[in-house]
Amino acid sequence: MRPEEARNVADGVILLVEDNPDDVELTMRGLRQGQIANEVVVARDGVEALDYLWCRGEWSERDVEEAPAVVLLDIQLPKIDGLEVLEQIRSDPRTRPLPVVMLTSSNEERDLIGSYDLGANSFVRKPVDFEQFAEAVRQLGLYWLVINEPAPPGGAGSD
Amino acid sequence: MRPSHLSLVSAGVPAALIRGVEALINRLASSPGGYAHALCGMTPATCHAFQAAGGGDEGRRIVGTPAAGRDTSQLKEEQRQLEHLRLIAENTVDAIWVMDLDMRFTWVNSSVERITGYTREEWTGSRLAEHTTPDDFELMAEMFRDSLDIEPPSEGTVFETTIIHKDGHAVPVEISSRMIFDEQGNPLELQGVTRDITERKRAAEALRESEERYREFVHSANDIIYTLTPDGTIVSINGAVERILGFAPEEIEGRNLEEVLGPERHARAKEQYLRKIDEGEPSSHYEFDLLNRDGEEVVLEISTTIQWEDGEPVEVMGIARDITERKRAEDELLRRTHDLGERVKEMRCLYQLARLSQRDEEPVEEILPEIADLLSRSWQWPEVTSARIEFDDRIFEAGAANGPPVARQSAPIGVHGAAVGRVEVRYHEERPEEDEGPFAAEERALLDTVAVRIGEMLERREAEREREVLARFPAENPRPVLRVVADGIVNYANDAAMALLAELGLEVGDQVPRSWQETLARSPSPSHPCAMEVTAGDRVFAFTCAPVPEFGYVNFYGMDITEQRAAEEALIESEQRFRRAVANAPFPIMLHAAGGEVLTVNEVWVEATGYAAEEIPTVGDWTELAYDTDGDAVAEYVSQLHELTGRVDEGEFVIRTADGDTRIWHFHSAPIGQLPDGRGLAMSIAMDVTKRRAAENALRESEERYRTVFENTGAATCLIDENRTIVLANQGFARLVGASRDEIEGSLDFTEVIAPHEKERMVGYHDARRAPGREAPNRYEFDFVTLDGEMRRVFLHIDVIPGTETSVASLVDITELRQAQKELQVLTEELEERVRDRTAQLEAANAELEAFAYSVSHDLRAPLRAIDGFSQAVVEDYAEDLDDTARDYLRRVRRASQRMGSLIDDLLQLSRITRVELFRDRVDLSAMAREVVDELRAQHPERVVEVVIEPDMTADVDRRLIRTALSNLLGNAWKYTAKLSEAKIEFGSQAGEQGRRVYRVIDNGAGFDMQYAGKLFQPFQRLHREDEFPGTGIGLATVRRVIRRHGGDVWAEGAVDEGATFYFTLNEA
Repeated sequence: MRPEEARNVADGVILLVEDNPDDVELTMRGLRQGQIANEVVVARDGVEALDYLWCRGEWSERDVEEAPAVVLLDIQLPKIDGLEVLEQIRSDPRTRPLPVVMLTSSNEERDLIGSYDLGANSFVRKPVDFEQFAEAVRQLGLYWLVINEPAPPGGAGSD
Repeated sequence: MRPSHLSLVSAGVPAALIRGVEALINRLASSPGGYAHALCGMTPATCHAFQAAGGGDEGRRIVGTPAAGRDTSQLKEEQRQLEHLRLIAENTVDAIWVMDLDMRFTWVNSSVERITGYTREEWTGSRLAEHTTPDDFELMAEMFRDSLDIEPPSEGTVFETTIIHKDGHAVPVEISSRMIFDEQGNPLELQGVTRDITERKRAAEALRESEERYREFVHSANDIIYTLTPDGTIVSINGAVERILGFAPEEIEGRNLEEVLGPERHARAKEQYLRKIDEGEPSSHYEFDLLNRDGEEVVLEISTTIQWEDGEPVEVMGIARDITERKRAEDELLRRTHDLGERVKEMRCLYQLARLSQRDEEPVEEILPEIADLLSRSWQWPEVTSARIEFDDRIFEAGAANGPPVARQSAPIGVHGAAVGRVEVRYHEERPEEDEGPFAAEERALLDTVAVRIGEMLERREAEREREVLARFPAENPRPVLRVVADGIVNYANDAAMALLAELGLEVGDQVPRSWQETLARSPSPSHPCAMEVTAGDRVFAFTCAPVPEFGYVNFYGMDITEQRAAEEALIESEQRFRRAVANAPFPIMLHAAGGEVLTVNEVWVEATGYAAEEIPTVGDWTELAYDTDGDAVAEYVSQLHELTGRVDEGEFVIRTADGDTRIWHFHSAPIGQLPDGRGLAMSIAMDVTKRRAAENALRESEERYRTVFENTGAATCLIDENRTIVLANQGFARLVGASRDEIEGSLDFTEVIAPHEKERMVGYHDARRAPGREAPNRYEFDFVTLDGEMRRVFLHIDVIPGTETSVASLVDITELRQAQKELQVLTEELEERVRDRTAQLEAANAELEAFAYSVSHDLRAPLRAIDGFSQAVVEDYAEDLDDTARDYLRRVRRASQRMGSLIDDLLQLSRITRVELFRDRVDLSAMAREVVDELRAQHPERVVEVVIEPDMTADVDRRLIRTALSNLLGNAWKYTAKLSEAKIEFGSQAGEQGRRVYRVIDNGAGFDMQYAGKLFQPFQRLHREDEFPGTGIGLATVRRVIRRHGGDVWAEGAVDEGATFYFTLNEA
């Protein structure tokens, strides 16, 4: 796990959970082209994603209060798949308010329904056409990082 | 692709489908061996299922198959298996159906056509009320309503009714139905089986009628019909006993004959039938008298039949006919015959006596023995009778005198009031005494008369002698003597004559009355005196007029004959009375003499035959008229009667009357002695039995008819009494039991042919059926055991004959039927087992396909995205390092990867259409088409297309799937008209076969060559180049799959550059 860009605490971190390095690169490219400058933290499987969020293992020094601005979550992941990661996020009061966007190749109905049932905030299918993909990533960043108002730290999560 | 083959054992089955299957199982639970159908869950699945007859979880198999097509070999095999099951269900003779709560049939198998004449298509969707009379419908609706309350619900309802055949006639059916409830206990629908019972009804009706007739016969029989055990206990007796003897059947059934008859008669009755038993005879006929309830004598003519078993008598069956009236009439006839015979003998006796007593010139010593002989033969029992006349110390005897007399009767012989002897009649053997003693009143009178006659004869002889003396000494004569001179002047009268004259108002010197002078005018002479009678006061005198020529006068000698005349008149009157008795007898009587002369036929004879007495002067004339060709034989027979010594019962003869009718006469004849000329005299008395014979014949025919009916009921039939003994069995029953009827009837206990495990139940029924207020099933199956121990399955129909304790049982052997059903069940189970195995294999294949499809959507698209994305990155980041060719190549790389992405997406959609469940609801196809067109217009605002959509087309379809299909069809039309400046698209519908709507999408675009029409709906098959019209070639394959899943079909017509028309149908539920 490595920081891709310089940390910008004020703008918040994007947690990208994606095992395919090609998709990581294309996503980063899309963000760049969309003028999204926030720090992107990449987790390559479900365990790493939860370690980051709950400040465990490699991330034990991290301040849990500094929640990422948005989590971009693939479904097919090694170790713990995306739907289970989502379920864990929603089951912990510290991470429950996090905006989670499912970003996946699947448009299977059961994945769609499963994601919303577990409390996903959005479900975005990754198009094959890069121009469409880049546009989707740009709009995602714009919405969740600029337009959306996140829950106050420690507020909504305390119940 | 993924076949939607479903099973309860499968995981991951949508909940809606499971609910559907569970409902199906519930439905099947009420329909052993049935065939059911349901729409389950999201996809249209027609579930076929069989359950073993008799129920039980282990016999239940459910197999579902989707309506849309599948193309794997396993599916085909499975379809073949299902086809077997379907054939079995379709070939059941019963109509199996499902009906909703509005009494509308939602499903039925093809047997409905055989039963009702309607095809299953016609029947499905029709209402129950259309197939019944209003009354039957009310009844059925009530039955169905009642079935809501049946506990437990699986019991269902079974009843019989009629339904109306398509050709209008009523078909009797048996309906078994059950209400199906959902999990919440709300009624869902009715499910049932309709069986055509025309044949069964017909047979049952015939049986019922015959039973009724038979029953009627037994109960209305004029004769008493009864059965006894060998020790005389009355086992059964019919109602006639009440009419004939006054005892109700239930009063004497179970009692011993001895109690009913009393010891003396019982001994006699027992002797009658036991003697037959000893003689080994199966039956006997005898007459028997007994007392009815009121103590009056009743005579019965009895025919008994003894049932034997192993050489032992086990039961006596009897028919007793009341012949009291007949016997009374016969006895009366016999008595009268006898009386008449006696009277005639007496008359003859007196006649002969009169003749004997006239033989004045013979001495008394010769005449008296003849009189004695006459007497001895004239009495009632001539063979034991002797007669004895004592007179003047002499004894004259005649007749049988074997041993001392045991009875005697005598009368004194008086002459002028003085006893001079006596006449006596003696019996030398005991004879049955009548009320009046050994000698009848008539005989006593006869004997007195004979004594008087003898006395008179003696007196006359004495008077004769005296007359000779007194003629010379008239003054001394105590009897009147007159002397008349010329001109009829009385010139002398003795004292007795003076008194007589005074009585006549005359005295000596007067002229005699005119009648006297007439006597004188007859010129009597001394050798030929004339006789005359003179009545003076209350006395009658006989005068003999004898001339005395030498003195010129005539002497009149008188004798008082007053008593004699009175006796003669009495005799004449008696004779006339007897003649009247014969003449007025209420039955035909003929008196005839040996040699054939008919002396008398009475009025009844003449009236009954129509032959006047003058027409039948001889027996030969009679027999010729009355017996036609048999006449000679009868005449010969009649002539022999005169050689008989006693009464003979000649039996019955058919005679022909003058007007051609025939009558049956029962003749009794008796010889009644001899005529004075020595010819034998016989009397024939007839009784007209025509009516009785006719009634008897009718009864016999009736009996035979009922017996025939009983024999030919079409089922094994028997009558069972309350002791469970089979009292009557027909041949069919005997065959079933495996014994002769003689071995069965009256001896076989019905429980002997019931399998041990059934006995308790059926004996319970037997008792319940006869207990007041209790009931027992009267139609059921049971295990029957023949006497050889063979087990048979038998359908029993049993009823107690109203008013009796006897039941009528009809049995039908259904062993073979049940065996066939069992074999069918085994076969079905085998098939189900194989289907289940195949289902499991298909499940596994399905799961693999499912996993494959899922990973395709993830794993195939990710590399494509990388190819496209990094190609674009190269173009963007290193644009100045690339020449035009390199940029063109990279564009081609990107286009190919994007096309690959489209292909994958379309393929996934195609497979999804097969996998998702079908949810039908009412969809406005016209509105949906307008939405699709609006979207197309938004995507291609530059296009000018005229679109015509028929308004208000609606259908029960899956909204999402049909949207996919319409999008593809309209999208195609839109696409293939792209090059036209005046594009036109039309969506409408038309009427198709069997009332189905056919929808169509018409465009005037590029069209296609009909030669390739078959390829249109194959995946990846395209008829146009990609650069002409872009596309993946999966759209129409998707359309076909959607349409097929709806049970419809899709096809296309078109020509190159002349547009295309796509048609589709929807199986709208």
